[in-house]
Amino acid sequence: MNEEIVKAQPEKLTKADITKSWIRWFAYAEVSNNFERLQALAFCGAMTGILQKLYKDKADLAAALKRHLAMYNTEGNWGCIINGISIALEEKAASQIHKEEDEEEEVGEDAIVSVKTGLMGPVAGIGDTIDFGTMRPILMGIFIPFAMAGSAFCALLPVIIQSIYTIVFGYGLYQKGYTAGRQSILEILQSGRIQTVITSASVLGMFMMGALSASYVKLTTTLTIGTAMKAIPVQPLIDQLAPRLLPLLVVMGIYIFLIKVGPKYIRIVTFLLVVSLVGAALGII
Amino acid sequence: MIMNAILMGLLYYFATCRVWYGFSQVIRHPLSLAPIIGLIFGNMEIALITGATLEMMYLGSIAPGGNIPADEALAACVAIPIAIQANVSPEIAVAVAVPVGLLGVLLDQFRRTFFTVLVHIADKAAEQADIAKIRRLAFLYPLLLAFPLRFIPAFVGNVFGVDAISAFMDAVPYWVTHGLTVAGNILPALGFALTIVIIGKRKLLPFFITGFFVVAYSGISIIGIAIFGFCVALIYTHFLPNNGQED
Repeated sequence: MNEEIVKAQPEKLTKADITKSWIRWFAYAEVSNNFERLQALAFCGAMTGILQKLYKDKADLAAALKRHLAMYNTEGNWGCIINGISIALEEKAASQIHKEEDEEEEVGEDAIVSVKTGLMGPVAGIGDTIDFGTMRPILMGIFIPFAMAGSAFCALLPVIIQSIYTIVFGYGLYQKGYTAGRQSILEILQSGRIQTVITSASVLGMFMMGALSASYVKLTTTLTIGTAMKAIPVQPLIDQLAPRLLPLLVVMGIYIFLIKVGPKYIRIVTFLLVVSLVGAALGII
Repeated sequence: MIMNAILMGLLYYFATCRVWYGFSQVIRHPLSLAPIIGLIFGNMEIALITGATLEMMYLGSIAPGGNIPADEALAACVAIPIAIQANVSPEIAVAVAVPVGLLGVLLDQFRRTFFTVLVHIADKAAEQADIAKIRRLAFLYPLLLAFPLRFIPAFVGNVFGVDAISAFMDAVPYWVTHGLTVAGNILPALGFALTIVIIGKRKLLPFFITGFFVVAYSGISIIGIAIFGFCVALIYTHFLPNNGQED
């Protein structure tokens, strides 16, 4: 029997295949996250159904699986578009694999890997900023006061809202990435509308963080100046200047430390604990 | 007592097993876990207040490259039960949560170091084109391996945490309790500052100051603030050249 005839052609991908791959990606994305290759195993796992349909030759399938085990890391929701594009590229690569040698190969292994590694950084930047830098803190910020007032339902609203948003968005981007291909992501990334959305969300986020800081960061001083006979408390003097100035200074101080020194989380919390304890021992706060 | 500790171990595992993107990034937060913990311990009021207070500290807790700065889920699963049972204020619970949250980071680092093994096994499975095995390595095996890692710390923390904190609070002088309360009151500042850094646009800082003093002077409700903030955001982008697209 002729070897060439045995090798079956790739099956056609349906919308359901893309959906199944998306479900795997959303379920797997962070489960196997590790220091060596981060989300690589999740990406490969999400591609398994697709690759199985595209590569009927065991050696081709093995090669395809291996290239998707390369280091990968992005924001999983906006990153869906990369999965969609990768599927489109694999489909193209699979259709070319058994053609005549002299035909020019458009989509090689290098192309697929370089598209993934090229896009994962910028997409993570956008996704992290929108989903976790602004959306999650704003949702939490809005519902924290209601939870404080005793509403269990409102405490659950952020997780409900963000889950619905990511499902709608992630699914849409997965399908869009597949149908529209590589060009689409460049258009989306460079379109002004995304920048407008990010800027608006950033302004709202900044405004909300200021409001919440004023509501929930509490610090007053019991410090007095002058002699024991004629002690003048300091706090009323500060209040005359502007209300809640000490909490503002604390937030700004931490902000400046984060900018100048970096995200040294342990150092900051240790410092705050020690200062609070020393201040309390001295009786000035 | 033991039953509740088992439930908390299971809850911590559920919150940190990371199944389903988008959901798992929010369910692990104290505000989302608080109603569930309130239900388990039959004290919704304290659970919600403590959860909301904890949430502020972890508001900007984003994981760049997957590295979490603090484990807010472990902090919630240990500190909220302590607040309910040891009868301490939410501020004290926040101060207790700090070291617990940092301990949780070590668990996550262990998990992600250990899971490197899985990807090496996957390399061999890929050579064999063993698709079923790759799926198990990406989902089932890490879920099984994470169970003891997550269950045991939360369980132990709940079995011994309440008595330990009660004994500690009884033993220390007033200034320590007061100092921890002060710390609990200023630690939310960390969450807010971190969020500003993540938003990452220094020239937008005036909006932070505006939001701060609108509340400091007027005491307006948070819904009022959200309405103002939303309009301010739209006005700002509207008047930027090219609708803010060049920003």
